[in-house]
Amino acid sequence: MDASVIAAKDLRVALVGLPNCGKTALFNRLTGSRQKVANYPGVTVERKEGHFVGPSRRRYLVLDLPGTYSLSPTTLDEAITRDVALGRLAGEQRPEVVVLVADATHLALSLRLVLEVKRLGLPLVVALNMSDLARRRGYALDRERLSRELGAPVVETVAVAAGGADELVRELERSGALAPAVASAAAAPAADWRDPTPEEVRASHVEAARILKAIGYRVPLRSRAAVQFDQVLMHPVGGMLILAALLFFVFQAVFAWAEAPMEWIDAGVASLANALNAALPEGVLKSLLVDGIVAGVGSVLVFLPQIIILFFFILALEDSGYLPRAAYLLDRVMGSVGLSGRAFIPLLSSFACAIPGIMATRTIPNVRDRIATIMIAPLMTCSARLPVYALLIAAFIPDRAVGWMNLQGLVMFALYFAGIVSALAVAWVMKWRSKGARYHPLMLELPDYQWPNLRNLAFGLWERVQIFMVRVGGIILAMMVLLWFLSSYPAPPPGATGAPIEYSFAGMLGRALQVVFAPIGFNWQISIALVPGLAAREVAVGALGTVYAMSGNDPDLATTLTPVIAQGWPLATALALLAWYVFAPQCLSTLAVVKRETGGWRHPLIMAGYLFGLAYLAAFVTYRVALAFGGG
Amino acid sequence: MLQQLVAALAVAAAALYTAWALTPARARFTALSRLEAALGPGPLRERLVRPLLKRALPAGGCASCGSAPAAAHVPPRRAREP
Repeated sequence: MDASVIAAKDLRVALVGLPNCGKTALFNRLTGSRQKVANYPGVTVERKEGHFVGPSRRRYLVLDLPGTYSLSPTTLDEAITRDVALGRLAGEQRPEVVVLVADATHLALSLRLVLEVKRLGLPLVVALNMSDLARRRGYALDRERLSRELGAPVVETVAVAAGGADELVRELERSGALAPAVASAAAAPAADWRDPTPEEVRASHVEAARILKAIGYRVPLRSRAAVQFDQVLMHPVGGMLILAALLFFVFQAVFAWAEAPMEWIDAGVASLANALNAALPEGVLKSLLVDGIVAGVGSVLVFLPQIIILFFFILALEDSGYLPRAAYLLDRVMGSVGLSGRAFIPLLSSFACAIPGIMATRTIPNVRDRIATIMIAPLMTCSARLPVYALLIAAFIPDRAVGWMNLQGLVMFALYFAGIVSALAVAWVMKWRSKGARYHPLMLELPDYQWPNLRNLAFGLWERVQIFMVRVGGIILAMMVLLWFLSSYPAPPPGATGAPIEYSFAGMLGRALQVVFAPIGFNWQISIALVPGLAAREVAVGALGTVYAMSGNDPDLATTLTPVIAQGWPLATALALLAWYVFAPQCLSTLAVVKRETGGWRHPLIMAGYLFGLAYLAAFVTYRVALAFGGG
Repeated sequence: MLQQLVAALAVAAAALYTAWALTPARARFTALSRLEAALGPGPLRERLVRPLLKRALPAGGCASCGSAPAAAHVPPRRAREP
């Protein structure tokens, strides 16, 4: 690419700061980007870049770097920040200006980093972020004096508000560092950098304390309400009960609130199928469109409302500041099975998708802890499992109340819980096998409570919708077309009495695989669906839609997968398939990322082996037990 | 006949797309970089290869997820310590 051309035109600005000081929000504000923002540390685990154009028409390249407490890294993500700032990353030019983002409500923590960054010799602008919040809560400081003490411009920013970065942009434009000669000199790699000695670290602490005193920095007492909230939400027993109740409510809502929009989508898909049936003459094109694409893609698309509702709650909890409290609550449980407290955030991210979760393990300094977290991350129930769970629950679990609870929501909650318990059990086994492993306590900065930011919520939900629609319109659509081809050819021989799919490539494959899957109750249609489902879990739902549409002559089969499997499968098979999906690592992207993050094939192969083994065992036991209780 | 031709084209396109989407990110990035270098200046390079290469550029966080448009992620190699 034209990295050199871009670099010659753009001024490279690096955003450096402590974890959770608002760097990514500021990055989004400056560049109009939509990177994920959350109210807890460790969201950014490697550098991201974006552009914006200043009032003088100069273009800026902004680098969003992982949060760090110092330039002497203890974790992989902190090392990225250090290496970019020093110009030590191959293929990465050194930034020409550093914007040090300091949380105005936690200035004492940021000052030591400011003093350290000053040693880099790069032009520096200090952005006092969340300055509106600090003012409202009674923090006070002399900004002019701070600027004089630091020898660098200090500007106020409010990354989450429109216009909140204007002063920073004006300062960047004004800065004398923009002269090309200064910028190019600054961009040279720092060859003489060395980590500070313990004496220098102590001296910088003393200097930071002196500056805080000089600028009259005043920290208000915590609000009474926040203290009372914490006393309740972080209570060892009461807090756990509240956490369980919250999660339970979320899964109830996923089923109860999504019913109407799911019916609308279902009706839209059915109308489209009927219109195509009426408009097209009999032939392969009609079969491709109706039985292949509409039946397959429509089966997955219908779960969009449930995904939106689930992520609405997850994003709202993130933004409110509750999740780090949940991490604190769960730390003791995680520590008892040998997991680091720092594993909470990566595991939480894995509920959306295991890939960012596995990448977030870079914040875990201990290698053993990091590998343990990577190995159990796929057991967290990612959003791709939701369509599979929702389909089977809707087909086999009665929509009735159990006390004040909905049975379908209860089963969904149980499946998520099963994933968590399995992960803890696997972590315990790993701890038991590696003698000498010791507990690393969680050190986490608790953010203040805040109302979820509507812009963040809207962006977050829009991002999830986009991801889902890209999958539906990309890999799922392509897979359905291929599966339609495999299910249609070769044509049945003359005089054949069965459905055409039984004589096709897919039919042959399904029957061959059924030898393996028959002991766990899977029929040949499920066996076929598991193959394209290796690319991504939800593809299996679309594949089932296509396979069943191709299996019968009823045109309604193209749009009504739920009743078809409800009538065609025994309960034991459905429960076995649910158990299979709690464990099965049916996501090639996850295995590829594990290979990249661990630097070899050993761990992804072990992961695939143990997860497929667990999936088969769980499905076998579930199937046999269900049969024994009359579920056949 | 026309119907069969359209269906065959759709199947071929789906096969190509699936193969591309499931190819490891590093291999995709390398292939596109070589293709870009091999092609001379022209509309094919500007309109097809460069946009694809831009999407395959190293990206972080959620953009590295297989479900994101730029599923490719190539971590920057660490330079030798001076």
